[in-house]
Amino acid sequence: MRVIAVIVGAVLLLGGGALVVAADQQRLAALAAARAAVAETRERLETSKAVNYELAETLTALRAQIAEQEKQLADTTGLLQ
Amino acid sequence: MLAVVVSVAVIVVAGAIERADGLDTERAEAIAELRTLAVSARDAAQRTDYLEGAIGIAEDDTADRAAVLAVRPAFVAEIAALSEALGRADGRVDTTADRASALSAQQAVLAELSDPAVVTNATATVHALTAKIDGDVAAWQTAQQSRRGSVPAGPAWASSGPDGYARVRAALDRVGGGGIGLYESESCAGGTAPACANSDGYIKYRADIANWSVDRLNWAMAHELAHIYQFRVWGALHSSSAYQTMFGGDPEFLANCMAVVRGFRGSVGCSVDQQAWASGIWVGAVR
Repeated sequence: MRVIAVIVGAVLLLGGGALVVAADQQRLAALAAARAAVAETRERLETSKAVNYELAETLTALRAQIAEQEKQLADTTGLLQ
Repeated sequence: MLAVVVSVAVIVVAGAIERADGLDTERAEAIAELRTLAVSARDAAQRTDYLEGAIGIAEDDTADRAAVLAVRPAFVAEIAALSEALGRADGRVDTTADRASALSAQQAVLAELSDPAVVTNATATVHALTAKIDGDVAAWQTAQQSRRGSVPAGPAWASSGPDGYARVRAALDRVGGGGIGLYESESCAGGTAPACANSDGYIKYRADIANWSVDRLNWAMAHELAHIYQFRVWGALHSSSAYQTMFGGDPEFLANCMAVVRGFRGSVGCSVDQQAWASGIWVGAVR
């Protein structure tokens, strides 16, 4: 009788330990996935910022060019007064 | 033995719970950071879209303005040619309407930012105006030369010079005397009258009136032109009782009233009836 009790107790102990280990593995995997997503999103954000910076520089240059062109178009030199 | 086992079990379970709690906390923090980063990344992507769209529009605007600027020099050159033509026409032909048309075209060009066709059309318009003005001046010069060959002989001007003559000529043209001969002469009433009309159908003027103001010159030419029209109905005019009654048989008074009818008001007032009667002389009617 005692032997049976010991065996059952050991089985339960091993089963409980296995469950705890499995749950721990799942938590670790979920944490790793979240961190990977953070890293990927951060990289995407940095890339977008770099692209936006270049686009903003291009837009600024174009607007300066437009302002210069409109200044030339508004020039009345040589026209009837 | 049992107490030891229980104690070990409690310690192991507490450790497991603490580790699980720590992992959950770290994951929650990572997810919160991920959310913040995702919002920022979405904003950045939207800004990228906006910037790309704005650049596309700006590139189109730049190309449009460059196209308009490319055809602007041709327009300015045409305006310069027109200005020279206006200078040549000054005092010879009335260019008021042509100048207004050119200014209108110029205004359209100044307002245009995107369509080069507007500028090329305006350039063509100004070119046509220049050609028209030059044509008008040539016609005027031809008319002057043909007039100079008729009565009286000799040049059309003396001391007033070509420019002074041109002013008086322009005034006579302006009041409707485009086909009437005009000559400088000191012989009007022995030189006391500034201008006079000859029954042969031409007008003489004294040199100093070339310096009169445009309004006064217009009035003087309208008055002399009225005499030319009086000569055309001279017989009927002098046998008209209304002419005697309303104007006292005075051709000068009638000429003043005829000028008023044409919009050139001198110093003499005319009643409505006098103006109505005088207007008939302009069309050859003596009532």
